[in-house]
Amino acid sequence: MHRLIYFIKKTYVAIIFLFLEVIAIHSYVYSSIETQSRFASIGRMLTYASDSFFTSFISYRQLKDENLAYSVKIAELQNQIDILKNSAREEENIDVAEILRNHEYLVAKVVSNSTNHPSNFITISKGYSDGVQEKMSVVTPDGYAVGVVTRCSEHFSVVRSILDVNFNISARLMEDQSIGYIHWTGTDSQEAEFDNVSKYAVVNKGDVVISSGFSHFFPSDIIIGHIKSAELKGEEATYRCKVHLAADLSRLSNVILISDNSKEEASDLEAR
Amino acid sequence: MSKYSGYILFSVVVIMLQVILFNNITFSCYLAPMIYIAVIIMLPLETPRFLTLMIGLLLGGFIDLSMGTIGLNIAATLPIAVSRKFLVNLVGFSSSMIKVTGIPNPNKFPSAFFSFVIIIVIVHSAIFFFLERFSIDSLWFTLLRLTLSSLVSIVVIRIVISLFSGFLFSSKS
Repeated sequence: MHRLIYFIKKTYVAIIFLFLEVIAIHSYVYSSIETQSRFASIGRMLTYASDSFFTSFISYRQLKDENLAYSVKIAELQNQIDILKNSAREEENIDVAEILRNHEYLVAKVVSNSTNHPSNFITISKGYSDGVQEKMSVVTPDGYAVGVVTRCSEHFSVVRSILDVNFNISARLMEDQSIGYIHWTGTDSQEAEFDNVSKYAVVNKGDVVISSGFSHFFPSDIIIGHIKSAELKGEEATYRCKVHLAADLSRLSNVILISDNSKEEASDLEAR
Repeated sequence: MSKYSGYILFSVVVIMLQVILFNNITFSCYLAPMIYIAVIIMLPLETPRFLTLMIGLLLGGFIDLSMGTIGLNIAATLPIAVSRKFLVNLVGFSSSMIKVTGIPNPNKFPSAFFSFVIIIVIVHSAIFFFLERFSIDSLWFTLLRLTLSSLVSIVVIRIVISLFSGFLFSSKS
């Protein structure tokens, strides 16, 4: 008995350590993207003041560029509205309001962001009280793909960035229409891989890769990046391409959220 | 208590630096400095193992919360906390005839202190980066990331400690 007590006295720290270590590793390995983003949003409250200080500093520096980008975007949108209005006038039965109702746009500020981890999250300063919903797609002001909203609190949302090694996005080549999927390799924040492209596809350097709209993550035709290089995978009949991402995720300060209302209907139908 | 006020202030500053600065600033995909481990490095040498373990748990938990990872920082910090006493003997803080206590002082034992910092930072970063990636596909990338991040961490920790040496060691002797 004395020996047992002596043994426990001598080793209890090691036993507690082993116990805690196993729990920690287990909860890390089995943490899903949802639990991680929930955890991140709790932690974000702690560091909100400092984060917003850095954000305001960085966004001040980028104000000029962003304003320019917004002006270009506004002009572009104005053109699109005019075209839509004209075609609506020609064909009486097209309802512009009906087309626009399917998509809603929101502008949000980036509170915190990272690009140097295998899974990266972006926190933005709009939550469900502003109309943000989970699964909304997030793009840069220029319209390039950024990520998907995974969790909202009242005033904040956590976005799963496309810079995530476990995140596959269905994409296609704009010219060739061939389908593949985009995934990040975990190294360069400006480079991703475009995989599973049919070997009969015509892949050229500089070809634009856009979202296919099949995966419910992004509406179709959002620009993801352009082809840097392509090579046939050894024995498989597919190309593996390196893609230069259009959005510079290390320099985000504002993002646009897009909700696609028709998406829900489609996924409801698929679930049935 | 006033004996450790310098250490407590130092810990608060190091944790703030980690959470506010190094978690937010992304220099490159190869650099993710982990300087919060300096809190464990600078614990007074006579701290009991159980208390060290609990401080490691709290520290890892807090950093986890700020990074949005679950258990990753705890898993990396606990082994350091539990083996600290062993490392203290290994690098030779207590091998001299005098039993050294108090906060490890880099000016009194420069070489012992430096190897102490290097071992702790490398072991901590190794556990962190391999667990974070959790695959051996990108072994070389992880190794490079580990090497560069550890180097930067060691340099930053050394700078912070020398900036704080006035606070840390003034209260004693």
